[in-house]
Amino acid sequence: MARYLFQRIGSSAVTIAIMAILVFFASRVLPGDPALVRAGSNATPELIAQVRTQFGLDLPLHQQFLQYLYGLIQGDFGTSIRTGKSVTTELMHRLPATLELSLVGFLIASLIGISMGIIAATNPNRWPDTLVRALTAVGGSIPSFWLALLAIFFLVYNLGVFPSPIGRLPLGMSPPPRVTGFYTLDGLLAGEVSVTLAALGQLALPALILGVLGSISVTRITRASTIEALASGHARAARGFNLKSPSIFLQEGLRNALPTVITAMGLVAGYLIAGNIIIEKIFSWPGIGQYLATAISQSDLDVVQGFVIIVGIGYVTINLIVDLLYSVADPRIELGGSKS
Amino acid sequence: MIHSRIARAAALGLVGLVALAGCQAEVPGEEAGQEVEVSRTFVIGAGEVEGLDPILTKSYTALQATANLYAGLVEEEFEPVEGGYLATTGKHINGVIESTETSEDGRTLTYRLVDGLTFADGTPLTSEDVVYSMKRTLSEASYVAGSSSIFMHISDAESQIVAIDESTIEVTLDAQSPALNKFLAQSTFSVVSADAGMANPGKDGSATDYFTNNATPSGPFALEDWAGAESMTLVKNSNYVHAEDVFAEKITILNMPDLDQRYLAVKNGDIDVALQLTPRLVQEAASDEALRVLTMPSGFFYFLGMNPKVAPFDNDVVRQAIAKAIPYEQLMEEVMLGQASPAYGIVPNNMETSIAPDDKTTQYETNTAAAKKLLEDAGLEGLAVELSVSSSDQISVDSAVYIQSALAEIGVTVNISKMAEVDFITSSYSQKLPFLIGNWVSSVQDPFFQMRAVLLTDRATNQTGFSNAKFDELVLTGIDEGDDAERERLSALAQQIVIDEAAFVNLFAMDTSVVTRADVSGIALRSDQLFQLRYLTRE
Repeated sequence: MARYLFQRIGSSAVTIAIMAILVFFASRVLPGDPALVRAGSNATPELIAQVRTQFGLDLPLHQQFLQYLYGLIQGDFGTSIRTGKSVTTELMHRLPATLELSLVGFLIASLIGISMGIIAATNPNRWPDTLVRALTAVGGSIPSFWLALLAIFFLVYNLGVFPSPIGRLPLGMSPPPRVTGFYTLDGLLAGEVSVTLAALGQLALPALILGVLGSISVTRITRASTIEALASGHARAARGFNLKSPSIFLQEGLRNALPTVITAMGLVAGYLIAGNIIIEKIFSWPGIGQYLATAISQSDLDVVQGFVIIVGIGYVTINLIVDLLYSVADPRIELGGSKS
Repeated sequence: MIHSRIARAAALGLVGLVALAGCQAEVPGEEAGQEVEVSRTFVIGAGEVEGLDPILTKSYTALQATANLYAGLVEEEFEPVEGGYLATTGKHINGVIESTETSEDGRTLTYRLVDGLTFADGTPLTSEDVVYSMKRTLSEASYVAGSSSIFMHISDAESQIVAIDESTIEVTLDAQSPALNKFLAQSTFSVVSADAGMANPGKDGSATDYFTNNATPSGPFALEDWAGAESMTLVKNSNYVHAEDVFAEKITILNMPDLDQRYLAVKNGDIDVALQLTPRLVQEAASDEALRVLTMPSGFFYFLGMNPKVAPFDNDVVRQAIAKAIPYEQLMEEVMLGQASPAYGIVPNNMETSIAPDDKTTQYETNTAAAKKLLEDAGLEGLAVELSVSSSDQISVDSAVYIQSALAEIGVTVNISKMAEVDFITSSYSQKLPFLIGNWVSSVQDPFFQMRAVLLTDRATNQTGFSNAKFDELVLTGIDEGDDAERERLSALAQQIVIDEAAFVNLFAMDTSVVTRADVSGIALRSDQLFQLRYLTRE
């Protein structure tokens, strides 16, 4: 186990290093001059040149790359050419907002996805299955921004079920003292239950939208893999021994379907970390997605690089967790070895 | 059985989530037991306050914050105008100073500070702070140093700005500066704390890192809270020199990047003021009785640029024909939905020395037949050109479609090139786009500042490639001219050259529109298009 973990962490580090190199060179071929954007519309050529020097943009590419690598090794993603602030600090400040939203969205996606997948799988070709398939087909064709706009219009402004999409806390409420950056947790740690409840309230609608959208693939994969497992020889044999349906479902259906479902959940988790840009914008959610959106339009290269690396680390970590969970879900799977 | 339990649990979970959301939706601010004077507390929906350094900040919302956190030597004077808002009178009043003495030659100015001034935190505000702040603005670290030095005639800030004693500052100019007060009233000349700056010089020695992340307010508001990318809360600064004129007690600037949500929030009463809405949303707000729409003329204009050094725009006839074919009225009515005014040349109608005969005349009259004839007479038929716009600027994109259609009527085929914002900016400021729709607003409302910035030969911000020696001479002379009548004459001649050349065609001046709740009043628009928030009140 320890050896496997060591190997995986090593290969993950190599993956991230390759990604860091690729993102550096990819961002350099993007059109636009960051120095001009930074210097502003009143800039003189001298000021633009000064900005280039200040941010190292006048250096040969290989020197810029070495500086970039040197910074990365020290955990320094550079300086935002747009704001003059440290990218590492800004990303770390905003990351909890994205993670908190993603985590709750992920829980909702898992809850809905697995429940609906199981309902459909245990009622194949009957009306619950037909309904689930219809819902996933419709859900899969709705863009996230459209669902968000509809939800806000009806659930916030018409029915008043959810609070207004004005960020992580209602107006007039101050954030709790920062420990984890998750307002729900920090509220509890500070003994401010009202802040936790308020934060959960603000989280509810964007997380629900992310959860609903994320649940589509989990539902489909849970349904398909459970149906396949229930049709296997083991399940048929169990039925031959007159075992009860719930027992067959748990032992032969869900258990055998679980590795595939975990894979689907891993993909959804990755999507939720990186794919929140539109939802964060619509809900005024101050996460890394919103930070990236502004950075791209302003050619803020260090921010783009930092975002990609942070999200890459997230993906690699999720993949590692998924691999570890395989062996928990099915003890026949040996980590780093062959199937027994 | 099992799946019905799971389904029930899932349903309960969702219901619980909705219940939580509903529970807290009605109690903002009450938990802390704070008593807030609601009538003087305002929430403004805008963008993100990315930094607070007055000499570096460029984003609209951050400029908005710095303009209200800091005081200057002088300030703009406001007066109520028709339309229900406050506009600048064009005059300046004292800020942190109580008097100014000007030498006979107009080159030496002695400013005396108001006695007993302090920053918001109670530390004394002295001449050292003013000198430090002015030198900082004119230093290499500042993005306005170049143009400020030229217009203010301060070539060496170190020796020309000195503190005589604790409350007296002497500024010696290289020559008389007609635009001096216009510059001093800008937020870039905010008075920051010298002690704080010198204690935190940072890598560049100019304390840019410190002032980007911290504020030492001297203006109408102090900084109560800055919740990163979420919001910023300002509270009335009772130490401000004109504290008696600050009506708003507390203002929260909320980052709402999605404009539709910003509009829905003001419509729903979640926020009191929504800034920077699109013309469509402003038009929609106008039909809502719970909202008030303020539409204010501004110096923010859109223009069509034709590079006279690049074919086919190197031909005067082509440029003049295109200028005559533009559907100016249609652009103002259908793209801007009426929220724009005619712009007569390089100096918009509402700026001093504009040669516009009235508020309704455009510099070129739309005349498709005449435009077509011009091209036919010159044997210039079947032209095909590429019109570049920034894809992130919907007004430019929409305008391009109308222009494409109008030019098709005179036989010019237009291919619209939508470019990424940063690519467009880079290419246009490098004069690589022969035919483009750009926009401009001068931070200093001065005709010579505007003409120099937009059209002076080889100026970094000259996007059209316009170049005319006589125009350059007139503008550079006008910068230093102290006599109002002569300034007007020089400006008029320069403006006429631009109209005759037809390389720079002003499409319209966009109105600055604000949507507020119906009971909110006291919106004051500065000449740099920022809002002075201290007069905000409720009726």
